[in-house]
Amino acid sequence: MNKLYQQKWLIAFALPGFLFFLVFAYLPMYGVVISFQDFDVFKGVFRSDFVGFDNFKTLFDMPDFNNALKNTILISALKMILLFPATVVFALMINEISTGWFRKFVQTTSYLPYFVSWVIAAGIWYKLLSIDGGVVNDLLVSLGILKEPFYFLADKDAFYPIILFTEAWKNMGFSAIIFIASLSAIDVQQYEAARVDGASRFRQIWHISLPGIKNTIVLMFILNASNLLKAGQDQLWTMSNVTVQQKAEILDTLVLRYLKDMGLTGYSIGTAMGIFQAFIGLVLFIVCNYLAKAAKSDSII
Amino acid sequence: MEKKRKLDAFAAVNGLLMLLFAFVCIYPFYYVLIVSLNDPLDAQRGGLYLWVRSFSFENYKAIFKTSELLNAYQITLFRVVAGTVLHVVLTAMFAFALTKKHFVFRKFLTWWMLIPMYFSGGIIPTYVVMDMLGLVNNVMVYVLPHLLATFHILILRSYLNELPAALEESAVIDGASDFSLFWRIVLPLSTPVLATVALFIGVFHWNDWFSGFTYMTSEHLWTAQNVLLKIIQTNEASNIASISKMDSGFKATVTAESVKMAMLVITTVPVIVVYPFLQKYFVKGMMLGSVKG
Repeated sequence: MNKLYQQKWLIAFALPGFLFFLVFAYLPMYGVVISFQDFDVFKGVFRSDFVGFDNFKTLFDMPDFNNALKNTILISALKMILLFPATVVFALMINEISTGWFRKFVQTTSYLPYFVSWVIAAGIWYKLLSIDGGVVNDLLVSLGILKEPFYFLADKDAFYPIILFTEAWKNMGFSAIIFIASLSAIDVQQYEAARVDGASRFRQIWHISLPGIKNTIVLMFILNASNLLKAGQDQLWTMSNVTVQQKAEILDTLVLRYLKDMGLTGYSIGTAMGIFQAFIGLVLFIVCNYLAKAAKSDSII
Repeated sequence: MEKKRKLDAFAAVNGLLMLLFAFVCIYPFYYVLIVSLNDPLDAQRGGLYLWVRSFSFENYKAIFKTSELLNAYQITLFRVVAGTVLHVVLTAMFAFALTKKHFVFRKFLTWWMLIPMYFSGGIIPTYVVMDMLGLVNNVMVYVLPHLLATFHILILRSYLNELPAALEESAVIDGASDFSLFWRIVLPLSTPVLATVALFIGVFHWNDWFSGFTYMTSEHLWTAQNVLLKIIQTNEASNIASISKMDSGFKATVTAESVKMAMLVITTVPVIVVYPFLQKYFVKGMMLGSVKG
């Protein structure tokens, strides 16, 4: 008791944190029991009737859910397959700039978009791609590439390319930081030796830069893979509209729709969706972390 | 890197591509800025690419005439200030307690904060809890659920662990309690890292649209991001345009499109002003973030 009294200030400092996590992290975790209930707001989480796995059965039979699951994996995989290598190439290109101020300029501008919200990013690209007076359409029409303005954001086939492009615009510069940092750790003497031997710039990149950051690449790729069921809620919610909804609906946005549109009747199903996502996410996370650890220890040898 | 390297074809092509990339990154912001500063009716003619053709503040005037938007900016400002100050103080307090090796609850509290990094209740259970607590349609929902973040506690904890122990020891010998140790010695010494955490959480609060969207059914509790989102997704901007039309005796002075642009600018500027200060901390933060797993 005396010890507790001696540590009264430490306890007082930690108490708000303890309560914070209790209320805003652990209480919602308990709330997942909703997915096993026929949730009734008036009865609340503690007194609603339990129905076992019924909600999950309903869930797997829902066309909306299956479509959202398909879209989530597709969008997420496209981002990984196309944008991940692009980020590495971008970092390699930045690394090849030898003029200090220019390099700093490119880097600084490249992560500017990362710091604005997707709401703003969406607003900007809606304007740039719009049919009346959008710069992109104006330019394409005046160059004769397009006959008439093309409604980019309301075209189903253009939607994924636009999602990939805007994602690259917003996040590529920032994601490249880690590769740039790891490139700067490579010993300069290796490049000098290669140059003396007459290696071209491409060969230097291929034989020195890339192997030098191989471990970082593997590690980042594995860590990214654990987010396969996170396709980008903010982006897809802000950039989608009724015409492309079929292709834009991902698990995150579907859950949000269950909360907003379905209201009380959708709570149990919506929570079940969230649990499904969290469960698969956790499995992916454990597997990927295991792989990452293996890759790490591999690199030490 | 050696200084003298002749400008070869490789460097030229690479430089050009990088210049193009930088252009694609900034130009959209610049474009929105010039459209917002151009006379709205003139802007309708199109062909605005590189500079303002006919300068005018009409769009900004229209925004500040609309009380709805002013109100949203006030709420945003409130959450940025309150949310950031409280977040920083509580993070420092919690991290400080965790660095004291003799603290009895240290181990328990470390796990207590780490577990929520990997598990969470998800959107709907969280909503039900917020509803239970009376936080739905309550401005405190902008502040309370973001009082602490495990990641920021970790950053601060590793910083505090590296402070020289002798400083605190001598204060303890002089009879300082943990309370005065924290306020007089630890807090002033950690200003740089506290500033970093403050900038990150401040930018988060400014940019967050999810809380307003999820927990506020009453639109006059929305933040600027929420109003902006609605304006982008619907034709809300034409209402603002028509309000200002009524004001000036049925003569249209602004258009929906150009008001949108001005709103985008006002909502973007604070972040753009702040972010150069954040820049030098990115790499460290990214490194910390990627090894946490």
